Amino acid sequence: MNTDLDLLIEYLPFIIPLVLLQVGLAIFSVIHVIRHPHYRFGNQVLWLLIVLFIQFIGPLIYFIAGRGDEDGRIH
Amino acid sequence: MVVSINNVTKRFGAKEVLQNVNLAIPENSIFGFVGANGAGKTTLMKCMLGLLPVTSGTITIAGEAVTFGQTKSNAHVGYLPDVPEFYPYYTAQEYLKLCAVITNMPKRERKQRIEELLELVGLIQTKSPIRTYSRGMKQRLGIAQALLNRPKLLICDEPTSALDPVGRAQILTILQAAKSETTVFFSTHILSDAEQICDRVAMLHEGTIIFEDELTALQQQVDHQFVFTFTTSVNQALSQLSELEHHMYIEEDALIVQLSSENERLQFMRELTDRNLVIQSMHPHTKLLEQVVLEVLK
Amino acid sequence: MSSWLGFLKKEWTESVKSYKLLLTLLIFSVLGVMNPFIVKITPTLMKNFMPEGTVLNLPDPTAIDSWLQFYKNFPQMGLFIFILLFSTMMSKELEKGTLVILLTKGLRRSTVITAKFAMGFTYWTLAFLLTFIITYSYTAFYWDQSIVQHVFLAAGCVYVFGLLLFTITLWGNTYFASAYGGLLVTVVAVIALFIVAIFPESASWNPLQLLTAPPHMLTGEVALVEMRTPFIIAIGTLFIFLLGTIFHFNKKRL
Repeated sequence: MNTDLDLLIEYLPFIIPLVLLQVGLAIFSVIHVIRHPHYRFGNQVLWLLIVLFIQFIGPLIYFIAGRGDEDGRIH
Repeated sequence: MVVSINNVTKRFGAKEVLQNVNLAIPENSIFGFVGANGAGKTTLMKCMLGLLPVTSGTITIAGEAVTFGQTKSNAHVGYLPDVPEFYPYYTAQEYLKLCAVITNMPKRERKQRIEELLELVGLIQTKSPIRTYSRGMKQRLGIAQALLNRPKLLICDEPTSALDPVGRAQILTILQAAKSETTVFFSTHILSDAEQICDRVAMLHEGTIIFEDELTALQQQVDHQFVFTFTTSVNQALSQLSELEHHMYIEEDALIVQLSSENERLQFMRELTDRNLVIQSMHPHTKLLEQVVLEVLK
Repeated sequence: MSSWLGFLKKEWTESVKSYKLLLTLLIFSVLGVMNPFIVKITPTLMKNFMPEGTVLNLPDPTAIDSWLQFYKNFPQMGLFIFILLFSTMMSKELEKGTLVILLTKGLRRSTVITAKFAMGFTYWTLAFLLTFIITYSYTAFYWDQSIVQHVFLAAGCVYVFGLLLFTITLWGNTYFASAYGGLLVTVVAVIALFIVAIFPESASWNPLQLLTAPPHMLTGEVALVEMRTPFIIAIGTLFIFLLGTIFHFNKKRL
C-alpha cells in the first residue's frame, strides 16, 4: 500500500493537470449536451455516456462529429 | 442609366443560358425582372455582380465596367441573394457591423446607419442570433445589409418567392421605401408582385428579353379591353357582331372587345340590345401582366 | 487593412463559437503532458504487468525518450487532429454561400484567403507552443536536458511541416469546395512524399525530412545543415500553395 501511495505522489505532477482537464472537459461537455439537444446522430443519453465515460476522446468525438449544427436545425 | 447591359451572352458548356441580352435600367426606379424558374434570371444577376464571367458582351454599373472576380462596380451595388446565408452565431446588429467594416464605412456613421436600417426592416427589437431567424427575417436582414452602403443599385434575386403573404407584403413595402434612395432591380416569377411595385418590367424567356417597357405602357396594350360572355355561344355572338368595327377576338369562351371611350361602350351596348344578345357577364380585361406574358409566349 | 482585420475578427469569433479554441487548448495541453508521462510511467507499468520474478533490464528513461514521444505523438495525433479541425475553413463557406454577400460588398477575395491562412497559422502556432512548452517544462523538471541537441530547431522543423500541410489542405479545400477535398489532397500529398522518400537520395531535399529527421537531430545523427534544403523547399512549396489558393479563388465562380 505504501508503495502505491509513493507512486501516486511521484506522478502527482502529471495526474493533477490531467484530472483537472478531464473533469473540466467532462462537466463542460455534459452541460453542452444537455443545453443543445440536437445531434447529428445518436441521442442525449448516448452522448452523455460518451462524454462522461470515454476520457478525452469522448468529448472530442462529440464536439467534432456529434454536435448539432450552429443554426439549431435537427439532423 | 444606372445599369447598361450590352449584348450579353452566357454559355454553360454547350447550353446558351443568355443570348444577346440588352437591358438599360434608369435611375430611381423599381425594375421588375420576370421570367419562369430557370429562365436565366439568377445567371444574369450573378454576371452583373462579377460572380460569374460572361461569355461575351459588356455590363456597366454606374459608369463602372463589371469584371469577373474582383470588380470595382460592386461598390455601387447591394445584393440580396435568393437564399441569403449569414453567419448563424452573429446577431443582426453584429452582422451589419461586420458588413460596415468590410465596406470601409466611417466609424462615426456606422451605429446610426445600422439602427436606421434595422428600423426600416423591423428587426430593431430582435436581439437573438441569426440561427433562430425565420426565412422572412433572414430576407429582411438581407435587404438591410444590401442597403447598408447606400448603393446606387439594389439587386434582389426572388426576394418574395419563398415567403408567406405577410412576409411578401413586408418585403414589397421595404423595396418601395428603398426606391427613394436607390434603384431597385428585382427578379420574380410572381407577376402580381412585379405588378404591385414596379415602374418598369422586363421579361426573360429562354435566355432572351422578350419585352421590356414601363408597366403603364404594357398595361395600355390591353387597356380598354372588356371581356363579355353571353347566354348564347361566343361564336354565334361574334358572327352576329361581325359587321361592327371594334377590335374583337375570342379567348377561352369569352369575347374580348376593345372599347376605347365611353361613347364606344354605350354604342356597343346598344348594338347588343339591337341584336338581342343577352350579357351573362362583363368585366374589364384586368389580368394585365399575366395576359401580356401569355400573349408573348404564344 | 480595416476590412482585413474585420474579416480576421469574424474568423476568430467563428473558431471560438465552433469550439475550435477550446478543443485546441485542450488537446494540445493533454498531448504536452502525455509525452513525458508515458515515458515516466512505462517502466513501472512494465514491472506490474510482467509475471512475478521476471528480471527486466530496462534502462532508465532519459530526456531523449521524452522528446521521442513528442515526435511520435505530436505529428501523428496533434497534426492529424489539427488538420481535421481546420479542414473545412473554405468549404463550409462555399457550400453555404456565406461569402457571396461579403464579396459583393467589396470584400477582396485575397483577404478571405489571407485572413483564413493567418487564423490557421495562429492556431497552429498556439497548438505547437502549448505542447512544446508543456513537454519542455516536464522534461526539464525530471531529466537532464543537456544531452539533447537542437531541442528548439528540431521542434521548429515539425512546426514548419505542419504549416505546409495546413496550406495544402487550405488549397484543396478551396479548389474542391468540399470538406473531403482538402483532406484528400493532404493525404495524397503525404503519401507522395513517403513514396519519394523510398529513394534514399531524396533525403537531401524531401520536406518529409522535417517530420522524420528531428528525432535523429536530437542525438546529433543528423547535422543541422542537412535540413537546410528540405526547409527551404517546404517554405517555397507553402508559398506556392498559398499563392495558388489566392489565384484560384480570385477566379472562382460563385
